[in-house]
Amino acid sequence: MSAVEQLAETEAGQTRTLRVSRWKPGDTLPHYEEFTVSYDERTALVEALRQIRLREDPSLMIRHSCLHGSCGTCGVRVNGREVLGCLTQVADLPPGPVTVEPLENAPLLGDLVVDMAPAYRRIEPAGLFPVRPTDGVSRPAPGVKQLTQFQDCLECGLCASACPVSSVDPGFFPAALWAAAAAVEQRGANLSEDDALWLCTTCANCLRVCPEGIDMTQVMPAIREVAVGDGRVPAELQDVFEKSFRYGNCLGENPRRRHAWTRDAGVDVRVLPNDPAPVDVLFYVEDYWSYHPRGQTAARAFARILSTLGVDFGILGPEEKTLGDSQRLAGEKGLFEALMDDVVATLGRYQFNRIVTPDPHGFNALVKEYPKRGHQYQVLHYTQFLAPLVDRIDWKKRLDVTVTFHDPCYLGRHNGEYDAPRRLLQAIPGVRLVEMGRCRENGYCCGGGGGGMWLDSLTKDYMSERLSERRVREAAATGADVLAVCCPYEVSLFEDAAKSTGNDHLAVRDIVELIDEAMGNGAGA
Amino acid sequence: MRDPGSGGEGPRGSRPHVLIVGGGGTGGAVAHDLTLRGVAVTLVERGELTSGTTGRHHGLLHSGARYAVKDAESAVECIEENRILRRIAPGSFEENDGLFVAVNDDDMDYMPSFIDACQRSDIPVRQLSRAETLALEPNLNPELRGSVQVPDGTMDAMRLALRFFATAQANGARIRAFTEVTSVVTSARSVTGVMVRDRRTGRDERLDADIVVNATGPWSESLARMAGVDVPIQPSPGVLVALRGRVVNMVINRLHPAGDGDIVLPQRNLAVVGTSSWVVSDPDDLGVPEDHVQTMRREGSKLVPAVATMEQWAAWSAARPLIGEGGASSGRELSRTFKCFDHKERDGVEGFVTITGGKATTLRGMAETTANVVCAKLGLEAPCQTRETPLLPYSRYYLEEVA
Repeated sequence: MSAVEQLAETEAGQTRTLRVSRWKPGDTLPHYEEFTVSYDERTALVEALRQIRLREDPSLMIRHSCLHGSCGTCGVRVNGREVLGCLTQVADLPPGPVTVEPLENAPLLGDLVVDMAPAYRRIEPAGLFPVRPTDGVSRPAPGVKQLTQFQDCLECGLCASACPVSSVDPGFFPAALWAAAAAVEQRGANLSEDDALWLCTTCANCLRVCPEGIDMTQVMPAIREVAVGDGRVPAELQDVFEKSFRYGNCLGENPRRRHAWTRDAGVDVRVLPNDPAPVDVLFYVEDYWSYHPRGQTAARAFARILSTLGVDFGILGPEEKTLGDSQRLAGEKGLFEALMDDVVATLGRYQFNRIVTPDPHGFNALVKEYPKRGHQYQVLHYTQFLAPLVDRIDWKKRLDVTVTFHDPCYLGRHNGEYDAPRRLLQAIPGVRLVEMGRCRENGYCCGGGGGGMWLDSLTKDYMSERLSERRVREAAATGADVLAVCCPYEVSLFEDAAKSTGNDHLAVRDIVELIDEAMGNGAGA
Repeated sequence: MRDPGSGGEGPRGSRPHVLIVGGGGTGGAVAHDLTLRGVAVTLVERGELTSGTTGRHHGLLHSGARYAVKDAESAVECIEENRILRRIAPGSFEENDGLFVAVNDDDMDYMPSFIDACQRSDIPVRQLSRAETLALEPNLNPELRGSVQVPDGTMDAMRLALRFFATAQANGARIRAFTEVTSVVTSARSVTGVMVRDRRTGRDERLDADIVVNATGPWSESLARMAGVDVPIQPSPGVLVALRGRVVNMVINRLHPAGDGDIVLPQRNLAVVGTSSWVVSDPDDLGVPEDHVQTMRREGSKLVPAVATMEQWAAWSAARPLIGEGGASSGRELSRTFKCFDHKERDGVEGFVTITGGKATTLRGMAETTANVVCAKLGLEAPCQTRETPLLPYSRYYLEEVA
């Protein structure tokens, strides 16, 4: 190619093929049409779509207005991920096929255009003013009125498209909860007694897609705290708060029986209060592995794995209390802080090098909240602890199963760990890992986070199906034999969901149970 | 999109029917004005509302100060409309005022004539020292010499326009987005309606009207051509650059004759720098010239140094619908005022009116002028009510049950 030809090619720009979802009233299902668009480094996706409409197919329906991420009209999904078309450069699209689809969880008007009316039906009752006083850098001079700023939320609907609750409850809209929270904070508005307050699982999928970075995992505890202060807490959640306060665990179990599971572990488990010598790994068992029968089998499996690998570990036994993260996110900040004080005092009595916990929620608290009390320990989720040791495992048994893996929200999106669990699964002889459509950053929530674990009788009335049920159907659709998990909330949620959705053939196993079985301990099932 | 209903206008009632083409701020304001005067209104827009120039302009509620020295007519229009809009659309603006900032001796020399021109156009001004200026906006260029405070503001460009649509719709106007005009129906030198294609259903319809209003901004030439007339419109795009971070709360202008990249203003959590000016023939094909983006950064950073290094959020172009008979080179020399053409007077074609030119700030005034022309043609004696009629919240556009 001559220099002139090269130059001509550069000037003409590159081309990219977009697979665009098409649907008009009367169509049963959307179909896809391919369009080739030319672009340069400044071509936004919305501009490429506009060029298709103007040059190739004027019937293509798209929404756009400001072209710079201020109006919120041009939301679409690109390869399943919610984006604003104006802030997405064609040059930055991932290699391979690019599919452009309308937002989910909103009525479709045509092609890429959804109806925003249901969203505004939720947002408007919050009564939020469009502008608010600034908290910015400027200081009003004497005689100058208070400076103002438009609200942050663009009302783009990306959050609702990504939200697992919105997918089973069309009346739920994360941005409306944000508006309600903002109205409480800025105007002293009375918090709505709307049950929507309790539906959010703080899974953070909305934060992943929000162009303004609005963090519902900060908003939710704050507005729930107001409801808790007003005594407006669902009875089943109040029960958990009281149990957590009285017994130090959410299940209301006897603290003295916290290490009862160790009796059948088949290996010695050092209980530090009985033997307080320094230890390498403090295994922070948390509530469900301590008390729930299916959690206990995982705890035993983990103890056997640690023992086989020669890890020096111990547990707090009767002195362990829940780390309290889900209670915090459910709005009981006072309870959480009391628990944190107790836990920090207990930890201070022992010497250890690191904490390893199976519970992504407790892990999240240790990483993000406990340092506020001066805690400096190295903290690992058990998958992060085991993954570097996996080459040392002497495998005894080939499992020959197809496994799909559910990313826990609090390990994945909240703390960025997607690889350690997969590394473990792929190391197990005979495990074929297949991914669900929504995985890793886009993983679908099990419904247990942010207090959801303890609100089933309230939330199920609002949802066409439980999040765990939808997730299990997704897992079953992969053809997997096993749904592997690494969060103690998930085993019981998914086992119930497998039964209720007629997917009994799908076994729900913690990753440690699979490892333990493949190590020949045979106690996994 | 509201009103997904289809089918042409039914048998004409006793009320005259006006069809407005163009779902930008001007079309919305004309629909609002005419419905208040008792006219039956249908508005069609080929895409989503505000998907043309309206959504992507700078978002500046002008005080008129920017035009005071060179274009007093525009300046007076702006300050009048600025006051009216604050009254009828509270909540749609950040009412933080604006600063015209002098950064060198030339700018300081310009200050007296600037202040004098503002005062002649009834634009309130307050001269600020360097220290007073920096107290208000600490991120401004510390080398600045002084500034003049004026009642500029910023707006949510789309949502201000939606309030006109919402109010018009609540008063009975039919607003039809995704409905594209495919031809103008004429009979004996008279426009009698338009043919449209509904982009949802794919159906073609004829919409009859007593008068068709061309409110398509920079696209008004192509619609006028369908009616067999021309309008002296010059699409003149400008580049805008949005940077991540809210470094100012007020509208920051350079205190000098209007030029490129000399306005930095806040929008939500962004700083938006604008703009440039050139002329094109096709308002659908603008592009974003890289050298213009660099100019925005360079000139903007003279006002707010952080502009040179802030994360770029988006760069885009918007086409102004400036009035000019062609031959303009940059668009800067063209007036920012608006014109309403009755094509009966101009071209001998009855039933067709074009409103163009103008600015977002003057959208209500443009609508008033247009509705005056339309009502005179219809023989309707109904005074304008939009100066005092508060607009509904923008969300009502989506929420209103369409009859």
